[in-house]
Amino acid sequence: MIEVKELVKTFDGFAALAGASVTVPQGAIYGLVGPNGAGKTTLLRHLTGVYRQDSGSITVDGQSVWENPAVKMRIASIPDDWYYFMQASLRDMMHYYRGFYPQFDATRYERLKAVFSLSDTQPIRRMSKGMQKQAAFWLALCCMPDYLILDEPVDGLDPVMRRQVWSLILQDVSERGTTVLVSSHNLRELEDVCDHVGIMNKGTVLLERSLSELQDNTVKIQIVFDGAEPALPESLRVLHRSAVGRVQTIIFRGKQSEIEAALAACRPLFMEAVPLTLEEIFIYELGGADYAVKDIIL
Amino acid sequence: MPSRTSFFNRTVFWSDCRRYWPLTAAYTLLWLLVLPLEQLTEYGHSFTEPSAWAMLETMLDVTGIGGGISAFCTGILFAMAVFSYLTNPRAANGLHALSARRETLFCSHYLAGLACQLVPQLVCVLLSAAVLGAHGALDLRILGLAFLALALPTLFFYSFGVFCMLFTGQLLAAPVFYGVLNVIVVAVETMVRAFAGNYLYGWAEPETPTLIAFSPIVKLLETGVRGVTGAYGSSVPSDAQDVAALRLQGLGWLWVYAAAGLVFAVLSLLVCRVRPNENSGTTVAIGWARPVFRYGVAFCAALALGQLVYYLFFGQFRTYGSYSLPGSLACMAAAGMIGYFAAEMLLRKSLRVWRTGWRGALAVTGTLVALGVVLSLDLTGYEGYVPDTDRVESVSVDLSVYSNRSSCLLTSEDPDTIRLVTEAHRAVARDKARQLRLGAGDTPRDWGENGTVGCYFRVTYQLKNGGFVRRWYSDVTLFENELGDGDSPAAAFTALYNDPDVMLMRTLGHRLYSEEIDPRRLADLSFTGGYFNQSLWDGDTYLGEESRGLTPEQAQRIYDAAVRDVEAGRVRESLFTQDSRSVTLQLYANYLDLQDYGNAAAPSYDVDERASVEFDVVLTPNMRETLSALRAMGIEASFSG
Repeated sequence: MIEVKELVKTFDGFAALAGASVTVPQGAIYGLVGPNGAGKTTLLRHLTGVYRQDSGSITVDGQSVWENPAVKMRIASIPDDWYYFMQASLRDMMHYYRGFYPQFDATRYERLKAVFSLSDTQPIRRMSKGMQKQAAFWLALCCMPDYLILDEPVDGLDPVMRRQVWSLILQDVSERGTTVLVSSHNLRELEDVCDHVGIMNKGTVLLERSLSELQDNTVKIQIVFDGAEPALPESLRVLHRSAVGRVQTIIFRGKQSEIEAALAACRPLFMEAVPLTLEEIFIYELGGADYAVKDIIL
Repeated sequence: MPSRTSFFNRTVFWSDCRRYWPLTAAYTLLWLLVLPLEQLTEYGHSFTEPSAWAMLETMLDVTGIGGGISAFCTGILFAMAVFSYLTNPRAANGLHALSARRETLFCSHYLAGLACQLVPQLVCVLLSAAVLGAHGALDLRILGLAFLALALPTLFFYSFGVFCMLFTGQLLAAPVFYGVLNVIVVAVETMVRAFAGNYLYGWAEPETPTLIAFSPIVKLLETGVRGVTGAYGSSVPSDAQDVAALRLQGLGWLWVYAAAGLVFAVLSLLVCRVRPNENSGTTVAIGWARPVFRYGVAFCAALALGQLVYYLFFGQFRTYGSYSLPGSLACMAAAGMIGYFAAEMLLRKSLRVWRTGWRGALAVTGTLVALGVVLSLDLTGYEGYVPDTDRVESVSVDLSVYSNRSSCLLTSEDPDTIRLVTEAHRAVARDKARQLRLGAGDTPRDWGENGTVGCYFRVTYQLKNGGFVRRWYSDVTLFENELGDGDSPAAAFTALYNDPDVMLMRTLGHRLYSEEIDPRRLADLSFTGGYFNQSLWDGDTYLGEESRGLTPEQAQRIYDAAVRDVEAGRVRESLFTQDSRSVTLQLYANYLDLQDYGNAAAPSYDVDERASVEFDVVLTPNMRETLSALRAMGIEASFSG
């Protein structure tokens, strides 16, 4: 489990992280979202032992990450600007990575040649951005990490390769229990893969929940009444409502079964629960709390 | 719990060696050309094969001189290569995310860079050994010294380069820091001395900077690391048995710098542990070093640029004593501010630094002004300080009167002479206001008229506590009508000029002083001959030269007669005399050189080797006994010219 508590980091007086706290359960795929400058990359660099925090703690399975190779060799990361030696080929980098990850799986490296159609003898600098991203995934997956930390991981990948990469990651999660922490500023991208989500803004984590928790607690109902709209039961907590013609779309906080039962008492002509997108959940969950979530997501 | 610290990662080490092989290859080629290939070419085609001594001495010369220079150049190159990742945020983040401690990465990179230099050196020395062996000049001791001459400066300069790399986050800033820091101590010392010299009356400085050891490349070049034979490194042996006496001059300094290199390596490791990764790409990567950089640049700019600007704009109007305090301070303050803001711009990577930097710039200006005022008002008491005679071990004096025939140069431990020197010193220090006023005139002084003469007076006291006090007064004006006033510079300087020790030195000791031969080292003096030469004149008509060699006995008689003339006071002179008639003859002698191996407080001497010395005897018309001795040899000194 990854635990970050009250993390603070300032750069020349600017607080990039102002008490961020994150908990990533074992085996989870945790999506960290937020606008540009929210502190996502800074947080991930602390998790990979690149930066040292001003205060707060970062532990993986209870052990500090900073200057702790025993922990770091269980973590593979793919930053948004993955580094390789200027003259190096993928094979050269593979040899380099093997020197740091004793569990590096050379057999898997050979097997993945079929997935990533790259020449491992070609200098990496001659590859396109998407190909370099593939190379990074290739090596990271061969490190057989317990923790995979990804910063904007699929930027530059074509849709097919995106799917392929996520498929490999999900396979590792299901087979090896790999814990994945992925940062993105795009909620839609994470919606399909994440089971936990945290949202960051201005150096703090505003909210973190499991996806099921969020979905169980927020309900979107499309409803049509005959004639004038009756007063809704006071027990229902409306987060948002809009109307197109006679069709009203209302977002409620609460359990779907309880909400539907309460609404049924109002005798609607038509009532249907519609799936909420992750984006909508965050907008309506936090909109009422005066957070600038709309600005974050839109 | 953190894992156990490992200081070496094989992957990092070999990766560095592989990636920077072109640099290593170029370095190897350089030393191959300089050492074994050059030896093969030179010794393989010469008609007469040089002696083993000559071949080995050449090898020590090449490695001694070339080792320091090449280590200075390549040390920073290899440091930049293996630690370049620290200056690239992407690379630093990428490598520090891997499962290795900073200590492991540092030591592996450091050792890789060092190995890339030491291995080629070892290979080249071994190949040289093969070449020398083929010519019968194989000597493992000398080869070991040659390798040390290469390896020790490499250890220092490379470690220092690494140290510079860790302090900066900009790749191109590293060689600038490295170059500047290699000479900055000598440069700053020189500039500070120039700065102080502008304000302090009587300011004197040593001939070589006292802190030269802190500017390693300057020190090594000054030391001259090379192969020498014998205690003084001066004699040239004639056969191979002298190889045993061959040694590497300056080896002690190489060891000192190598030890300093190890210290720098450890310091670099400590810096590496605390170096924030996010500072990659910044000019100064360590937080506490930023103010040092900012104020260091400001003060160096003030000292160098400020004084340069002052001399460019005001220098042509300046005469001795007319130094403009406001002008000088204005130039230095302006240059200091420019330096401060330039440093701030480099640190902040922005031209908009006024708001953040004005306080610091003001502090720099204030400090410079305060420093100038403190010096110009002599709040330190420098100008008036004359050491008490009982604290002085010895004194060296250079008193030259511009209109007179000879100057007074001597080093003496005689209490009477020391007292006379301190009295002369006090007199000229007391006369500061008038001397500066006289010096401030825009027109040249009319020395020689109205009973005045000009002179300069340089004095160095060696104190009993081992310290030195130096003062130098140039263009001092003396007034003949003040000779009756015992406290006047004229009276004090005249008394000093006619001190028995001084008279002896100005009659016989010029060459001793100029060749820095301590008269205390002259023992068992035996004359080997002499030479007399004078121009003959009839009024203004030149008649020709009269020259004559002297036998050892004649030289001895002349020397003894000259000493008696001095002891009888026949070379006493007034500083204001216009009689500049003199004839100089040379006497040659051998002596046992008593090398001083003791300290100043309790000197002890040991006989080292026999050396030769030359006396210039300055004959003046009053030296009756000497002239009489010459006459007995058939030589008539002519003072008509």
